Amino acid sequence: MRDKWLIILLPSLALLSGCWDKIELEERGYAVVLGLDKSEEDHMVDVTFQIENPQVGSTSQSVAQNEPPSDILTITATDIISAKELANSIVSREIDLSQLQTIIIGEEFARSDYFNNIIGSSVRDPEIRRKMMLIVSKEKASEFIHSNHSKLETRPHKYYSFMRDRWKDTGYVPLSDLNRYFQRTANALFLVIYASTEKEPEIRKSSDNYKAGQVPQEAGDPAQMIGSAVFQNGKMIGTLTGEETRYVLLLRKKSIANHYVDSFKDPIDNDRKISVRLLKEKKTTVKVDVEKANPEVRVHVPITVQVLSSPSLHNYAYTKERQRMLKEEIHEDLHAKIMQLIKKTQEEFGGEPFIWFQLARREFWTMDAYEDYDWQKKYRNADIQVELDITIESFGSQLKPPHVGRGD
Amino acid sequence: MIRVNNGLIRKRELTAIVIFLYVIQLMNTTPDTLFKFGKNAAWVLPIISFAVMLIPFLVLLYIVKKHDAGLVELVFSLLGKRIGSFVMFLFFLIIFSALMINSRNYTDVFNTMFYSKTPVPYLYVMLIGASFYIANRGLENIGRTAWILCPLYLFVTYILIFFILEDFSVERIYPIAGPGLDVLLKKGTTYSSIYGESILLFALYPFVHKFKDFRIGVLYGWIIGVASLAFFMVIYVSIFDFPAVQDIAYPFQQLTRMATLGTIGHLESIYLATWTVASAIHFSIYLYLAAFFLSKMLKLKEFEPLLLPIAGLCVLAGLISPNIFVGNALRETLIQTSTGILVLFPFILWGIDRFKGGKKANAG
Repeated sequence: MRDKWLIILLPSLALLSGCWDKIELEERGYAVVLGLDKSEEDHMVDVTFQIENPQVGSTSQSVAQNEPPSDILTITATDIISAKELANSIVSREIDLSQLQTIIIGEEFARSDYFNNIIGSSVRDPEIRRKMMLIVSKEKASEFIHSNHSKLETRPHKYYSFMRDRWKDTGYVPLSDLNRYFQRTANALFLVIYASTEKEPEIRKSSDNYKAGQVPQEAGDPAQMIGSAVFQNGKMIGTLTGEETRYVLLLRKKSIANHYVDSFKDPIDNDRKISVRLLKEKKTTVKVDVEKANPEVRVHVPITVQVLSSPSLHNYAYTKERQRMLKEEIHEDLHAKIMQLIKKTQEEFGGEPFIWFQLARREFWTMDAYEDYDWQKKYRNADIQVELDITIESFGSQLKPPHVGRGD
Repeated sequence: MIRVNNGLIRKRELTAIVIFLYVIQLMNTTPDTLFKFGKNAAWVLPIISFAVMLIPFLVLLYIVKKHDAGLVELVFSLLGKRIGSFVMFLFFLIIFSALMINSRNYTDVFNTMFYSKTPVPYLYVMLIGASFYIANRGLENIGRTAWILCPLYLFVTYILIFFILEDFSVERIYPIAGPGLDVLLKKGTTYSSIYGESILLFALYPFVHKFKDFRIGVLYGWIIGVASLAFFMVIYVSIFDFPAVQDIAYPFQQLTRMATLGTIGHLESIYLATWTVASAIHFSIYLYLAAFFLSKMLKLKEFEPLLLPIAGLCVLAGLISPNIFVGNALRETLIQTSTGILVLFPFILWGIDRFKGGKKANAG
């Protein structure tokens, strides 16, 4: 008789063991965006959760017609995990971070000393994944999340995942996730996507010299993501514009954003611009010499150019002389801007976002020798020369500008 | 091919067993321990440890070939009954404490990374229970289970690299010498007993079909294990970078959480499954060896009845350590102390063998 009970009990031991950590899909509230803000209290943080409503945008939408696509709430707590626990005193569903992909940090909080403590301790929780995308918002993160309602994407997680893919095409923002933060924060400057929903538009001649919030825009989605926030030693210290961010990516040895559209002064008609697509098909080569008192860095960037449009309607394709003019113009313009950016990183930030530290590290035999060398400090006085190798590859799908009265 | 079930294992089964003994190290806390001293060059340590452990292994291989007898028989015939029993006890202690400490560490990983609400004792009982089930069926069964699962296991483990390629940059392993060559050599030697099981595996020699099967089987599995551990440690550094890699508790599990296949994330569930099965096989080998040494020490004819009490004792003793940091500290002490014993032991045996052989030749 006793054996019979054993036969029933033993399998149940194996079968029911999952019930301790069981997850009922119905009872879950998936937080898709997390916002971090400086709290008025010391050593506290305002955590904003945007919890997605799975019924919206699915076949069961008819049941929940009056429900919004997501719910947003802010909790003040000592860290993310306790905020999550506290939030469950308000939200009916158990908050789950496993689908969380985006963390938005208010600029004020990013500039405070406490930021590194919160981020550094959050990775202890296995629910926080190292692939989560970091975004710094100019305003408070809670305000950003509240006002960021995309018209094309009903569901917030889709919006962020599409926006994350766009950076590859534009190069206006860096790729910033938690893993990269921990990789770089000790060695170099770390760039984070800069975003804003507050607008103070400024019209500029150069098409990409904007930071988030400055892009002249009328109507459309409220959030702009362009430029980057610069972090050093776990703290935000400044910003770069979209254009500068592009140059940073260009100067890195391995960058994942390999092509983008840029515009340059028309060499014949100086008031107008020429739009070209810049492609980096080969790797940038960087040589770092640490033997001298001030390190020497030699950068060689191969760039391929495709001419997309020239509003001045001058024909650059047919004569070699004009091609050379265009090439020189692009070279001069790019080179000047790049050197300005390098100077800015050396003098203003005192560190480099180009991940050259990895190449400097190669020159040392042991880790201790590298640490004693103090690359960040030496970089400030480094002698850096950038060489651009520009090839004009194609002139678009028109042989000549269209004939409207004036021919060429 | 249908083979007669004669209780002996062949080359491939032995290779698979050794693979499950060693390849799994890249998924547990071994990399953590090595990164602590080896910094960004910690991947060299397994290779140094292998080189150091290989010498006593070859010495023992020579003695075993000469006498055509397993480790246990050699010890008893060369050292006598009393010292032989003591040596068996020593081996039992080494393997049992390794079983206890490592299995507890694995349980902690399951608990922290996947089942945070499930009580540790329960997870522990399930893990050791599964290992006991495999071990109880005998060595041939362990070998066959390992052989069937080993290709899948290696495939799943290695395919992870393709899922995380985006974040990979091999330049992060520089400076090549890490903490300095002297530190690497010293630590590689002190920690060489991460491969100490290779010496204890000689106890299984009587269950292996041929001498050649044993030699090639162990060496193949061992080399695959060393290469995998070193290779994955390069991957860890190339993805997390130094010094961040030193702060990560379970690099493999963290890696599986970062892995994406296109837009599909959360691949860690596949790895949880493979890892669970692999660890059950891993500990079944330990259980089997522990029971084997204990039975020889007590001069029992059968050792299968000892499996259950040892499994039970392992769970009870393993639960004493409150968390993984205590467990890791214990593991380091164990590795360091057993290194001395395991490296020197084959030379002692060899010396005695020479001495006795010389006497015999004189007498004859």
